[in-house]
Amino acid sequence: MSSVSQETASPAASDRPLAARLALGALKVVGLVVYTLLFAELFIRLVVHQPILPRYVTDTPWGVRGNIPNARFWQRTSEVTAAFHYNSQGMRDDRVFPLAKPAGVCRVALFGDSYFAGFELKYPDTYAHRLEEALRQRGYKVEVLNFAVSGFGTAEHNRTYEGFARKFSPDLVLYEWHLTDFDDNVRSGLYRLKDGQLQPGGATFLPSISVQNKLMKSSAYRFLADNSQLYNFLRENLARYAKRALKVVNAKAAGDEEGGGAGNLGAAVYAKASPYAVSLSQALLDQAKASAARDGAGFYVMEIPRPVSRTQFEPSITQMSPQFLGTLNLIQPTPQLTAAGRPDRKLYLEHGAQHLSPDGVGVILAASLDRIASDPRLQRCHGDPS
Amino acid sequence: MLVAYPAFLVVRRHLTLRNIVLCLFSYVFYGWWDPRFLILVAVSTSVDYMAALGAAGKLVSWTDRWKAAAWLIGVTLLSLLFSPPGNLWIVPAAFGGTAAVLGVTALFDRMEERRRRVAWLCLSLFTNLGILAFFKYFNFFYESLHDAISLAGLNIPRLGLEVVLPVGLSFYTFQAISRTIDSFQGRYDPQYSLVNYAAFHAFFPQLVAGPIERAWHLMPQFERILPLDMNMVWSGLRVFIWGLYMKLVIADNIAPVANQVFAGHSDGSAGAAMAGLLAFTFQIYCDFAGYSNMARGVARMLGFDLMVNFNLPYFSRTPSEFWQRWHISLSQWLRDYLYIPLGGNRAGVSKTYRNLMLTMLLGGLWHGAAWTFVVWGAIHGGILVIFRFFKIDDVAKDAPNGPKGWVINIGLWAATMLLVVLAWAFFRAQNLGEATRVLQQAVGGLDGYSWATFGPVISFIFPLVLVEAWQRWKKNIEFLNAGPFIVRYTTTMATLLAIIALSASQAQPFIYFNF
Repeated sequence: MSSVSQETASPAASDRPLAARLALGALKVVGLVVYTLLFAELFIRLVVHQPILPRYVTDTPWGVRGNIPNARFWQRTSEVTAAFHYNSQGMRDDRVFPLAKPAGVCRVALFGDSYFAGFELKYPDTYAHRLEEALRQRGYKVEVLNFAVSGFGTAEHNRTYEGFARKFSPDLVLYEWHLTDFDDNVRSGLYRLKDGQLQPGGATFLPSISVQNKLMKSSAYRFLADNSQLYNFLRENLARYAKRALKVVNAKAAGDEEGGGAGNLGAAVYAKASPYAVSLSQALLDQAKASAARDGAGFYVMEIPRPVSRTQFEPSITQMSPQFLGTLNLIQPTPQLTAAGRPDRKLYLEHGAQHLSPDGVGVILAASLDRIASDPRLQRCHGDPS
Repeated sequence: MLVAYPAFLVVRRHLTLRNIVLCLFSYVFYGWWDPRFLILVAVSTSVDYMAALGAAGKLVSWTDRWKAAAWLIGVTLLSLLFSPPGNLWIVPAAFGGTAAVLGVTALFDRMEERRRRVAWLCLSLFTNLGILAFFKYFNFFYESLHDAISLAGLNIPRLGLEVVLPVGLSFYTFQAISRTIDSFQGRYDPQYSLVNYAAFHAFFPQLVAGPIERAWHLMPQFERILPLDMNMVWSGLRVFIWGLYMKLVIADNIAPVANQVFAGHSDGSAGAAMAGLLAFTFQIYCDFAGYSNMARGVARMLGFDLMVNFNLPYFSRTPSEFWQRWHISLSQWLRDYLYIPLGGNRAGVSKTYRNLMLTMLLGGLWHGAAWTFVVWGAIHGGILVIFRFFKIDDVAKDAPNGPKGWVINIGLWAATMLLVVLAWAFFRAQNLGEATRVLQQAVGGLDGYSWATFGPVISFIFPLVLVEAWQRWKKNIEFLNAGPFIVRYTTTMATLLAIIALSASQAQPFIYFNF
């Protein structure tokens, strides 16, 4: 009986015009794709809730990424919702800074990655804003200019300083150091070490920026980037593998047989950087210090340690030689974080990308404020507390 | 697989070519780790090719013997080509060994049939168990002997022989032995193609961690062209994906909890120890059953059918049911080639108990050369004896339907699981002291029972328990292959997404690769 009905049913199906069959097939494929995407979005939201941390970056005339001028967007995690606004100079600030420094005002230029950029933080909670507030409260007329861009390493800070930031005549330059900088410095290929000497490498480091520029013109893409957990999940994972591959390629090109070391693979895998990555990073910090000194600016480095737990924090800059570190104005807030750490106190956020919490920013601010405030270059800007 | 699968698809309709390709890829797969150990696979292949024919009472011509010898010498030379330098001594050893075996088999020809068949069987047992004894148990027995003699105040030198255990040795030697015994006992009729047998012997999906296949089930599949369609490929892929999920998402994510407890890095509470034991209970299951599923999935994508090796073992109500569901291919091997030949349950109560204990002791020792495995086997043997003595298996069989039956079944299941979980302490521990410490910690109080302790384990095993409850209810162990298209598509997609999103950041090696 069933074979008879099959025989009668199948000619009827094949009797349909080719166009109708093709249309039906296409409809099924489209339906399946839509179903797949909706299901995957729902699955990610329910099972592995993703932080939505879009990067609004583009290319710059100085050959590295920069924040998209005048961009406005949101970052959302289960712990925080933060509005972002970049000014027309690509800084996370509502003000626009003239190149010429106002009379009697000192400038502090911050260079860093997503930590200094204030990812997962509302603007008033960012280190840059709080540093400026704290200095003003102590009577300094200062402007803190935040040149941080997510994903940056020392090499990119140096390019940004030379190509852009030094035009603002900063009095102090403060570099953030994070474990990922070992990787970032090798990966960018902007500089290489040859016979122990720092050499220029690639003219630019703009990974996937041309694609990103095209995509960002589409409001549908921006909607996805700002709202889809599936998109953010895929982007983070693909970027992690791409970054790792790029690091290995550039490390090999520079003659580093260890491929830069294991470094940060984006999960909980942390290991020692390769000797090449350490030497390159030292040379880049040396270069930054020399550039600042040439311009008469003070140069500081502040490490953001990696949280091992709520009470344990691990420095990474200590992989560099003690002799070299002795030549830096190094601010290491690890002891202060350890002293402040308690099982019931979150110094780092835990449901996003482990950025500093407002509480954590407070601790590193306290650890750095006296050093910065006492720098002789800022004393000319000291007046009555505002 | 990216290279092997297209090549297989091209040649799959030509039997000899297909088996050559399968054999070649299996050898590459195995030799990738250390090409020298391919020689052991070749020794076992060559000897058992002849031995099964001889044990079955078939003519083993000199052509067959030269073919087997050429296979061994050929694989030896090829493997040495890809081995590090310094192994040339293997060449004369291989020639010498081959000549010796051929010489011994020449003696077989002078024997009358029954004795000749026994002689061929003994050759297989001697070769496979000899390889196993040397590579797996030499250090263990020598060290144990050394310690025993030292206790008596005497002194023998330590040999300092660092014998490395080749991956999968216990699996492929047991598979080879079973084929020869089955041939001897007339349960299997061995054929004359060496290529077919070599492909069966080294079949890469199950070479390194089983299942330990029976020749009568798998070998005929190497002697004919197998049908293969897209349904089989998709179905195999889904079985593989489920195995991958078990391994990467469950086993690897809960492994650190067990590692911490056994390394003595937990907070020392009873809850932490129980969480560690629970974690290892599911780690070992998902690690091994996951591999078995992956092996079955890959084999099905090639058109082959491998036996089910795990059938929801943690739903067992009694230890004997557990052993009918856990590592089924080994349990059946031990039953057929050890327990039954010892007399099974046909020679009286006390001998049944003796046979159970011996079988489980050797089963424990099969897993590794350490006293911890012996104790683990002894515990399981003891549990089987106790359940049999009190006729608890019969209580489970006769459990009535309805609420009373539910109470009996749940009670038996809870008791069995508790014993199984506690016994895993010896399987996991590096030494008896470590196992004792963890067990003492686990039963030493009621502290540390909190969501913070158990959450990291339960959150990963809970979805598995739900799926397996469904599998048991529906009597269908292929979860991802059940239901209409949209259901299969959705469950597969969810599993894949879980693998991508939840895989452990640090992959753990397969535990059973050590055995």
